[in-house]
Amino acid sequence: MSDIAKVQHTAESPQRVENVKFAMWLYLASDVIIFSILIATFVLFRVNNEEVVKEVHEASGLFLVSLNTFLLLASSWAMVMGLREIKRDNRKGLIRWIGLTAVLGIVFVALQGVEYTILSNEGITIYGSEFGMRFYAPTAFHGAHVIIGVLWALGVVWHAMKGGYGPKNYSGVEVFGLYWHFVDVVWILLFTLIYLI
Amino acid sequence: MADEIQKKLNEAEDKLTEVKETPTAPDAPLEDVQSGTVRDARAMPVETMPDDVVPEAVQELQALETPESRDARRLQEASLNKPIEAIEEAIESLDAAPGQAAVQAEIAHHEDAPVVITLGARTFTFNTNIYTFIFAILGGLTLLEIVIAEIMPIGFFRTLPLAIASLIKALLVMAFYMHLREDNRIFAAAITLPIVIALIAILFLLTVPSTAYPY
Repeated sequence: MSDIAKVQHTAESPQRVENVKFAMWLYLASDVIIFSILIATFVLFRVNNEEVVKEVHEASGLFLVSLNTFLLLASSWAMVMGLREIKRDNRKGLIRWIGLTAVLGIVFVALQGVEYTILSNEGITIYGSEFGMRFYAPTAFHGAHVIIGVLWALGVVWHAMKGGYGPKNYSGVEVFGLYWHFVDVVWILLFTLIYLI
Repeated sequence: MADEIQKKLNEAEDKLTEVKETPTAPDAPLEDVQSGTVRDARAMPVETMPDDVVPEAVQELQALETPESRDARRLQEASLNKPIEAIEEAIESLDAAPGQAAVQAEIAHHEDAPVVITLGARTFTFNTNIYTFIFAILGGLTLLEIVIAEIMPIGFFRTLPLAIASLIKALLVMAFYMHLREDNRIFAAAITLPIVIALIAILFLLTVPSTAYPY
């Protein structure tokens, strides 16, 4: 049996898998705190400055950010479908789905860049208005998470192409999935709080 | 269904009382049952059991037993078994009962199985896997949110449905995509604790006037 086949068919220790997943959950818990601070800052500003936010809503529109939301939801779906494929010993399926996840993440970041350009043309910049800092801080911090997630997804694809995962050895995909879905959950909340309410 | 179970339990209780009050009822011990279930053990007469299973004292008694007294013993055992069997039947009926899920949606969760949702007496089957099904719900809720945001004026009646839809979406992703439904409970605890603390902090901050307290 080759080294690659050994990796694919050697079952990981359940204890190790649980530990790695727990470590990721603890990291996500710490991220919750950081995002909470940013969200709380926005919510407090929003409650006390209803008109400012209303103007910004009218300036930016909903189309672009709604499209971005659908893209991120689709990327989460692609991620979990990739995990499903590797569990069924379909490595090519894993590569295709995680590759799609990365592509959707890249498009998300690109469209966020377009949105930022539109807003800055409207005079909404980090230092240009009180709203700017409170808007850009959570959305850009989230965007940074997406960029890291895209790099991680590409890493998973590269590792999979080298034969690094198998039906009994996929905790690396699972842990990346936790991170990516968390990024999706944060966006679900940000989208509603910042753009809709 | 509940009435039927209650009726069976009442019947079993009556029979048990009747047996207890019968002076000839033997004080039969039920411990040390070596077969799979109590019912299996009862179905096996003691004289057919292998010698190494039956205690010596019982073997001696068996040797002294006349055919008449054996028949009388079996009759007594049968009368004792009846209430026990009634109790067992009642318990089995309880296990098989559908519980309180008459109007509760039940999602058959399996990665490859079609999604089956039961609403009361009606069952809906979706020929897709659970992840795609959840994705469709997420997309639908997002569309609903956008429509609400476009048609409703800013205020409580816009905020409330949007907040609820957003919360449902977040919970669906965490439960199904992040597998919190089936994973170790400690993971859910690890992520819930900071969320609760953050919510309390935000709610507290919302009570502070924007110009700070006047004292």
